[in-house]
This record gives sequence, C-alpha cells and structure tokens, in this order.
Amino acid sequence: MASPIFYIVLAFLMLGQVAGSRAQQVYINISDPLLRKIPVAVPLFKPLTGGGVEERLAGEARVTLVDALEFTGYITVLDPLSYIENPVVKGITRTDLNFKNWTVIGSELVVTCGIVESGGELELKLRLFDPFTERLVVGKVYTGKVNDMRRMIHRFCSEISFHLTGKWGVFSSRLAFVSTRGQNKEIFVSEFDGVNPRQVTRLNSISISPAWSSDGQWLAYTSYAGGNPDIYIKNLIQNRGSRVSFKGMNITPAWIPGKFSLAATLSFDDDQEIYLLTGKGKITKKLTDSWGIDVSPCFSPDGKKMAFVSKRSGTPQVYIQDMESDTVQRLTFTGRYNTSPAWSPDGDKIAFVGIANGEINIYVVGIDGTGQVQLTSNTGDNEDPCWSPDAGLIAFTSTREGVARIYVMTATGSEQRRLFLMDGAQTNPEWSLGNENN
Amino acid sequence: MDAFYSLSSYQAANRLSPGPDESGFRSVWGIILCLCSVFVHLVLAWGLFFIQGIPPKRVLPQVIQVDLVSLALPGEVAATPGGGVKTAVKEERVIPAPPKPETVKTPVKETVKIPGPVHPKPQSVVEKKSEPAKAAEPVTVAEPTVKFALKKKTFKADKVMESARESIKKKVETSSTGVDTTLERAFSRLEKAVEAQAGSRPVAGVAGVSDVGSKGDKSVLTPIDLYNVELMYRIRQNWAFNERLAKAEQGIQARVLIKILKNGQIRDVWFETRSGNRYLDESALKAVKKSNPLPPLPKGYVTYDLGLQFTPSGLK
Repeated sequence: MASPIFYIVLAFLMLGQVAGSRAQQVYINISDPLLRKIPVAVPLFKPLTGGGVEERLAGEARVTLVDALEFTGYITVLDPLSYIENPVVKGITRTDLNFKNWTVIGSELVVTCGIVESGGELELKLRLFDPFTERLVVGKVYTGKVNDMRRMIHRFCSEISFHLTGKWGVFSSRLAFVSTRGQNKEIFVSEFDGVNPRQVTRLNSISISPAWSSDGQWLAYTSYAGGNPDIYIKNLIQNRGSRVSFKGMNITPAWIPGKFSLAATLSFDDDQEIYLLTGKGKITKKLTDSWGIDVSPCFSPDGKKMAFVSKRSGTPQVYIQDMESDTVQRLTFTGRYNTSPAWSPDGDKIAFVGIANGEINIYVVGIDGTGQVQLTSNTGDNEDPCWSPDAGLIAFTSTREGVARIYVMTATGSEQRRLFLMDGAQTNPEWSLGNENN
Repeated sequence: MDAFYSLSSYQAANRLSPGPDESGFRSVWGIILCLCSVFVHLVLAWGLFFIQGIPPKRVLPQVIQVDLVSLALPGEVAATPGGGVKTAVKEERVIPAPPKPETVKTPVKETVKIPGPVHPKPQSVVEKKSEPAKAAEPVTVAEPTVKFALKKKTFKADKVMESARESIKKKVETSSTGVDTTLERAFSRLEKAVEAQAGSRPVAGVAGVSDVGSKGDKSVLTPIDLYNVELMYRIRQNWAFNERLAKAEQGIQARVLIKILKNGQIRDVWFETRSGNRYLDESALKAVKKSNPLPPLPKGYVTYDLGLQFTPSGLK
C-alpha cells in the first residue's frame, strides 16, 4: 500500500487544480466606445451675493457655457436632472464637492461657477474639476461688465479646450461671411457661432470672398463696387485700407500666415494668374505661370506651400506649389471639377469642393493625395469649406434647406447643423485665427 | 510465545506493514490521525484561500442597482441623443414631483429613443425613493405620458402618479403578448453574441492547468460566458473616447486587468500593457471605474480575474 504521503500530495494537486480553474484568466476585447464624446457635468451656477439679477445671469451664463461646450463636437453635457449634489447649495470649491457623486453619474469633468453682480459689474468664478483624480484642473476669475459675460464664458471654454486638446479652440475666433441684402451682397463679421453679426461693408454692391489676416485685424475681400472686381484690404479697427484695382479681375485674396502680404489672382496680363502682393496691394512676385486659369490660393499653416485651383490640365483641379522651389504637384485626380481648397490648420489635410454625379459636395484629402473622404452627400449643394483654428470643425455653405445657409460639422463630417438664421442667404464663411487674448 | 514475539517486534514490523489484530488497530489509528491532519491542513488552506474573498470595507454612495434585460444591442442606440434628450428635459421641468417611471427614463441619456432604459445609473432614482420591484420589470416604460401643469394650483401629484401608473398597467397588459417575443429576440441575440465571444476569446490559465469544461465547446454557453458579454456591454457603455482627442494612429491598444469579487465589486484595477497614448489609457481606466460595481458573479465563482483589451477602432 502506498504511503499516505502520496495521498496527501495528490490531494494538494487536486486542490491546486480546482483553485486554478476558479481563477482562470479570460480576455475580453472592447473595441467600440459607446460614448463618442467626453461627458461633462455643468451644474447650475451659483449666485454668490443673491439677488434676482444674479440668478438670471447665472441661468444665461450656464446656457452660454453648455452651448459652447457642445459646439466643439467632442463634449456632451450631462442632463442636470441626473446630478446628485447641487453646488448652488453645497458650494462650488474643491472642498465642497463630493467627487464620488460625480463619477458615479459618469461625468469625466465638472464645471462650477459662482456669479457676483453689482451695479453692472460682473464677476465670474469658474472652476474645472477632474472628479477621478479629485483635482482642480483650472480655476479662473473674470471681471468686467455684464455685457462681457459671453466673452468671459468663452475664454473659460478656451481653457477647457486647452486642457483636453492642447489647443485654444474656436471660441475666440470671429466669423466673417457674406449675406445678401436685397440685390446686393455684403460682408458681415460675427462671433464664432454667428451671434451678434455686424455689417462690415456698405458698398451696395457685390462683395465676396472675405479673408482674415493672421492677426485678425485685416480683412481682404473682393467687391464689384467699382464696376470691376477689385480687392479691398481693410483694417477693421482703424477703418482704413488699400485697394487692388488693376485692369481685369482682382479676385480670391488669401493672406500668407504670419505676414503682412497676400496672394491673389489678377488678370491684368490677359491670363488669370496668382501674384504675391504686399499688405498695401503692391505686386512683389508672380507665383504661377500656366496657360490655364489659376485661382483660389490658400496657404499651409507654415506658409511654405500654396494650394490653388488650376485648369492647366483641362478641368479645374487642386494643385500644391512649393513656395521656395516653385515645383507644382497635382492633388486631386478624381472627378472633373475640384475647387475651393482650404488647408487644415494642423497642416495635414485639405478640404475642397468636388462635383460628382451632379452633386456639389465637400471632400477632405491628405496633403499627399491619399485618404480622400467625402463629408457631405444628398444634402443640396455644399461649398466654401473653412476650418476652425483647432482643425476640429469645418464651416461651409449648404443649400439643403433651399436658401443658402452657413453650416458647421466636425472635421470627420458628423453633426452637421446650421449655425444661425438671418435675413437673406449666407455664404462664404471664414473663421479668423483667434487668440486667447481675444 | 508466538504472540509475545509478534508483539515485541511490533515497532519494527509496523512501519512496513500493519500487523494483524492489535498492531493492525494501532496502524489504523495512525492513518486516522494522518488523515485528520491532512484534513485540518486542507481546511486551513481553503480558509486562507477564501479569506481573500471577504471584501474590504469601502464607503460607497447609496446606489440602487437596476438590472434590466437589454432589449437592444448597443449598436442600436441613437448616435445623437442630444436633441431628443433636451426636449424631454424641458417637459419634465414643469412637473415638481414627476411620477416614478419618468425618473427612471429621463436621467438616462442615450436610451431615450429606445423602449427600455438599460443603464444601471439613473441615480436620481435614489432621491425619489423608488421601489426596485417595479423597476425590475423586464418590459420597461416606453414613453410614459407626460402631464403638463398649466396652472400650478390645479396640479395634483397623487392624481398624476395614479393616472401614470394606470397607463403603464394598460401598456403592460396590451403589450404582454409582445413581451415574450421581444424577450426571446433579446435572448437569441444575447446567445449569438455570447457564442461569438466564447468562440473567439483567448484563454490563459493561471495555474497552467486547463479546465476542460469551459473551453472550446461553442454550443454550450456557461453562465460565465453570459457574464462576460454583460460585462463587456457595461464597460462599453461607460467608455467615453473621442478619436480627435486621442491624436493617435490605428492599432493602439490598452490592456487592463481587473479582479472582480463575488458581489460584483471591482477590487483591483491595474494595467497589463499601457498603450503609450495617455488619453486612451486614462479613458480605459475611467471606463472601468465608472462600471463599478458590476453585476454579481455567477454561481460557483468567488473571484474572477479578467483582462480587458481596449482597442478603439475608427482612429485615423
């Protein structure tokens, strides 16, 4: 008969086997997040000294913040009905919040705000928390007039954008666009989301294709006010400027990033070619020289390359020219009509308009010509693409509702929505680069 | 004489073989002692093993777990729930004390358009003193009628709740024939998903000993397979990831290991492999933390060690 030790060892082996089977390791593959946007909790804002004005302002400020955060396309604000604690009662600072109450409803960021108003002077104390690390990420106090409230909220949204993406976002940009005024077309400038539009041109004529300088102080545009298409270069603050009015057409201005000079198409030489001009309108160099028309220049963020439209191969296509070596490469090869290039501020993609199957749609392609994606389809005519400064959003013109309106979508083509409503038809949106100093 | 001799040589002879009668009695006693000792050791070993199963004391917020059978796959969730939710919220604000079924519905964001909230996180349920029995109905509220209070004075909360309850009762009765088919469809979908999961998962045994019963046999779905699927859905629901914020190329992957206790509590979370992309790693960690606590483990499991592989598709 075998020794009892044998049975003991056998018993432990079996024990190990059973234990092992209980703790067996499995891997589960999780490949598709259901939440494509960052969930952020924005509880009601707290009036700090009480008073009806503060309460009303608290409501308006919160709506402004929520709208701006959702404008980004990568944030979703959680329904306040699901919040467990109320900072209006408990307090808005880090020690007042119980962060478990916020992680448990699924929020990954929490924004609180306290408002003080007295005699038209407004103070906003805004705080952004990370409830998982239980830290204050950024806290700011803004003071100014009650009228500055939207600017204050948008500056804080820039802080939130910077925390999440490393870029300041679109909040401090202004939007230039063209709107019809009866028979005429005039240029307007509004806040980044189309609020508070202000008429910039009063030429009672056709004024189109606005272009912002890098510092946001100058606007170049084409106007037929003089009977001929001329380029106007206007300083918006000092209300002064220059005019480029050579014989023939002077159209499609585009500023060189970081410089007080621009490129434009001039046809005084009987052929539409792209020329380099100073900010005052003096020609410094001829950039293109081909027998087809060359229009719509647009520069890479570092200014070293220029995309433009040329008919040199028979049909309008997008080309890229190196500014130093003057070598030209064709970018678009599909379709018989590709125009309106817009270079992404990240430098890696170009949006353009293509006509295919009777539809006018917006496409995005890598600067090496690969990865072409169609962003719009079956929704009327879609033209004039323009990127937001953080390359996350594209504004464009669309006639999907019948009248031309300005729409916005994310850079991948999702969440297409109309920006605003206004009398007449709106086209040609252009976001300025913006800066956090606003 | 013979007996004397056999007795005197007892000590020497007994080691090799138990002697007859008395010596046999003593060797049996020895074996019993031995077995007792083995038994005590076994008990000790099992005890040590199970002490790990006692969860440490943790302070958790008051949470009522609402377990509902998912009647729709996550892919069917509306992609842009924002518009739908906003209008629903505005209607709800008019009512100071909304009837309970609506509190189950409104805080749930993504499932407003689906007849049946799935999330275990409608936390305002806690504040409204809900009864878990009603919430655990397999047929959940589709669209409870919303009462508008035109004048606050004429609004009576009890009557509203009463009429809401009645309308729900009616809906349950009228759709009772439909209940079984939707449940059956849901179960068949779940089964298919579980089979897909069971067939394709790689299994890594901890002790190097394979368990014959739970591997490779695709036609038999074990409770742990169902648990895996439910767990995957749960964590997916809580995983917020935006490709734009990741700024990463295709193919990055984060691997997280978790230890789940018997009651579903996640006891440990740690990275097996970080993806190198800080945003993805943090989002994976947050997804797991938000999914805590998970449903209780199926019978027979004291703890469950599990690996989660987060591979976001759709990166540029």
